[in-house]
Amino acid sequence: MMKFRYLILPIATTLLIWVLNTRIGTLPPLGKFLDPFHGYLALVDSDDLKRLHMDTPQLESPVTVIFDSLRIPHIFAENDHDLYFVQGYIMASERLWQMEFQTHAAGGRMSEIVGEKALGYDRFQRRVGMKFGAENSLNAIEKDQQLSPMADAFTEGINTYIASLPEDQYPLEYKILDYAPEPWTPLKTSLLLKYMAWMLTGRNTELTYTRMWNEMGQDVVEELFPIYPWFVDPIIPPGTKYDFNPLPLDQPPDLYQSKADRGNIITQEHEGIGSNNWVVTGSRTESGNAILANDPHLGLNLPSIWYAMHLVSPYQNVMGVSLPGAPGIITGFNDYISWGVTNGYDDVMDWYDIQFRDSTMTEYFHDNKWKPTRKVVEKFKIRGGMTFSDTITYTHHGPVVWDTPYQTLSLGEKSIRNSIRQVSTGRALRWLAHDESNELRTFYLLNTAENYDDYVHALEYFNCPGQNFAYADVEGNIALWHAGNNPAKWEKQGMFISDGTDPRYDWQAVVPHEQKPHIKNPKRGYIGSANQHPTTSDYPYFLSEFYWASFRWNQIHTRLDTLQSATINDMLDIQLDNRSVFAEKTMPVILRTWKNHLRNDLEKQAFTILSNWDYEMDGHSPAPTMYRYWYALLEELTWKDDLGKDNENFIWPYRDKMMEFILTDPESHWFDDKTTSQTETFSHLSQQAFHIMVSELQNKYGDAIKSDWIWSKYQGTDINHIANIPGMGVLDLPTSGGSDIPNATGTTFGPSWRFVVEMGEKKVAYGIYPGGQSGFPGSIYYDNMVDDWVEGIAYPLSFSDNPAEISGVTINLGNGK
Amino acid sequence: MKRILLISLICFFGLPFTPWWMFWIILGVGGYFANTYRDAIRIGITAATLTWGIKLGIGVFTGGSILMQRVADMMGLGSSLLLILVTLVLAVIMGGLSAVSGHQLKMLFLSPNSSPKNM
Repeated sequence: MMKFRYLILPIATTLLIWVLNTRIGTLPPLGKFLDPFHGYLALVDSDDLKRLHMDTPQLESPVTVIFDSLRIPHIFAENDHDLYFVQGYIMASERLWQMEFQTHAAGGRMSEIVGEKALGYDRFQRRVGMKFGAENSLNAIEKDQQLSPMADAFTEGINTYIASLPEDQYPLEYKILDYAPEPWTPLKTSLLLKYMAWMLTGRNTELTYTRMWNEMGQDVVEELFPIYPWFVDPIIPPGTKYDFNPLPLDQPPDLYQSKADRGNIITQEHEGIGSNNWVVTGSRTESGNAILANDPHLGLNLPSIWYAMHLVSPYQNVMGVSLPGAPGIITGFNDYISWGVTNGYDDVMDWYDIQFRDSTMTEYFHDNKWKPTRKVVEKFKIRGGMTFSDTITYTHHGPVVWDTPYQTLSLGEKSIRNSIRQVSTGRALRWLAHDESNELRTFYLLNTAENYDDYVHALEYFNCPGQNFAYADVEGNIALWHAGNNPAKWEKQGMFISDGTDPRYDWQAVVPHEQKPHIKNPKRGYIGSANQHPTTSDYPYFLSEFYWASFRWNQIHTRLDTLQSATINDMLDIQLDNRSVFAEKTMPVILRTWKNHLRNDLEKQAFTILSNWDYEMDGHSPAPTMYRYWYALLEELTWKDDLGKDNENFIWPYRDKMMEFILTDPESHWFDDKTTSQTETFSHLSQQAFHIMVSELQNKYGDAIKSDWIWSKYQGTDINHIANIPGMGVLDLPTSGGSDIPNATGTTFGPSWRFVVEMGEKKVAYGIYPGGQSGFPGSIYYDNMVDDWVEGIAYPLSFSDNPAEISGVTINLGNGK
Repeated sequence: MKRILLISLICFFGLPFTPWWMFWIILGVGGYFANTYRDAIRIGITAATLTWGIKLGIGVFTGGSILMQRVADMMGLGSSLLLILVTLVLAVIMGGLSAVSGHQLKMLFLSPNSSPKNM
């Protein structure tokens, strides 16, 4: 019996090996991961381009790929099938984990990777209809006889790369999270496009507006959140005639007032996703060629949301940025045209009160009839746990996202995503992205377009969410279309929670393509957008209750107005413009309120700095810190007594509304603090905020205003890893700019791709994004562009349909059939 | 020493083609054939350190420094040197335990009267 004591250590060692082979909490399986033969170190050469090798019979002809000094692949193929096949293969070789992770996130499959803690998030994704929409859009792609083979070739290319990977070579994040890639499918591409649609669909304010209506009256909502604010500089210049007969719409005589408080509220943060684009006609440029500039502002992550590529076949020669996981180029240029996008911010997401016959939710009342609902059972595989089933009820409006309060708490928090919180129960969501749509066709047609008509035709297929597509071509034409299959809505339709029983609240039609806001070759010689209102109130359809304030576009507009012979450098300079229009317009008034109320030397110093401020949100200056800090305090002092904490019961009005009050109504009752007996005005609150600002910044940063209160230290920018894995991001970047500034940086968002192209016979293009082409954190190309992005540098892009004119590392793939 | 070098060489060239835990089985076998516990420990620790150490060194000198720094940051170690140290400590512990476990198994299969020598 004694000899069995010799078994104790071998058993303990075996157990230890098992433990080291198992993921515990957020830690990777340590033994497997640290083993230099199979763990992370096995990936040391994994970004070596020479590893790319393909003799697959699936390629009809040999394909040449040249990686330039930025590691941008230039793919030269003899047909489109091979082009998309290799695009998928190359994309996967650089970004496989990101592609799959994003689609897992979109499709509500995170529990398969991280276990039960993601179940709330996953249920939200499915219940909000991401998979439902993706499957509908996949139908459209599969029905498209031209696009379907291309999507299939792209998928095959990705899968060829996955099949070529031995387990040791799975990208780093697979090793950290301890799982394996699965075959790609066109549904994943479709999910990726829905993921973008979700990100860009914009603000969703009807619940908070409805609550405000119920508690304070509709007039208060209309005063604080006007559809056309006081300061609007729209995309389509004022005075433009809308010369068409709008579709007749059946509008109810009185607006339905929902009882909003059947649960918590749905709100969003003020800072958000925005973008700039503009085009300048040849008569206003030095070269005589039209110039296009675009910088989409998105959440910044590593690996970057974008992947730059150049695709060449006999049918196209197109360059720009692609979305890892989707074929083609999303924004860029070809031999004939260029295009760039900004988010349109149309309201394409409406909530409906549903009247169910009983608690089984099998029938609901609509158009004076009881109609059957559709029940869909979604299954969730949970890593290390049982499969979970969730039944989702669908009406013709869309899914009932929440049946019970707090049904889908996410990751243990009340917040779900993009600050959207638990919505009240029993309401159906109508979201344009649920509809069958074929955005891939838009991008294919843009990639191959040769003129303005091709561009307009391409945009007919673009569904959701509405985007402003700026356009410039080699013939000197410039244009902008506010594209997307927006519902034709009557005034204020969808601004509040809608009546789900009344068909007049249904989306009755789609705005006909030719009636969408658009403009071509205007007299002033330039067009642009920065997520502001597309039109004035003359436009006959109601598009949204919210657009971003016109501050950014107003500054770009002012700069473009002064340029008579613009160059590419001028455009790059405008992209980096840090001027705050809000500060420029309000500071003189603000300074007057402080002037005679300075209490100490520090306040005097702060006052002097702000008096001499040029309104530039420069990272090296302390003025933007003081100004934004003061503004945040002013907002709190103004709104908290009336509306409570921001984003709790109500959202606070936007900056343009505050500017209106400061400049036109400084004695507005909104400035009065209801908790005191005296009557406060803007002047009182402004002084109070100033004193608090100086005191709090002193406590935080000390007395050295000029060196320690600087903007880049206060705001700065963090680019986190997309899965928030520590050590894989780049933090504390000393950026300039800010929200509502053309250079729209933030703590976690900013210009995700700065791009300018001059559309001469020879294209001159510059671009940069805050990241790198490689998705491998051990590569020098993982974040090599970040520092230059902070500095405002953009790189020249090599563009030619002749491989001999592109220098770099050449890889030959395939031998042909 | 020759035996240790031989085991290290076999492991160095063979491990890329086997599951990661095979290393510890090989060292267990090495320990099984060791004459004493001391021999087993020496074989396990030295072979594990040599094999992983050389591979780590190659990793460092063939462009792995960025990757190691990121992994070190991820694990809260802060420095790639510390990461190397932690990895080698793991190798030492696992190598030693595996080889001694092998030797223990040998004891198990020996006659009931035999006892470990030269501890």
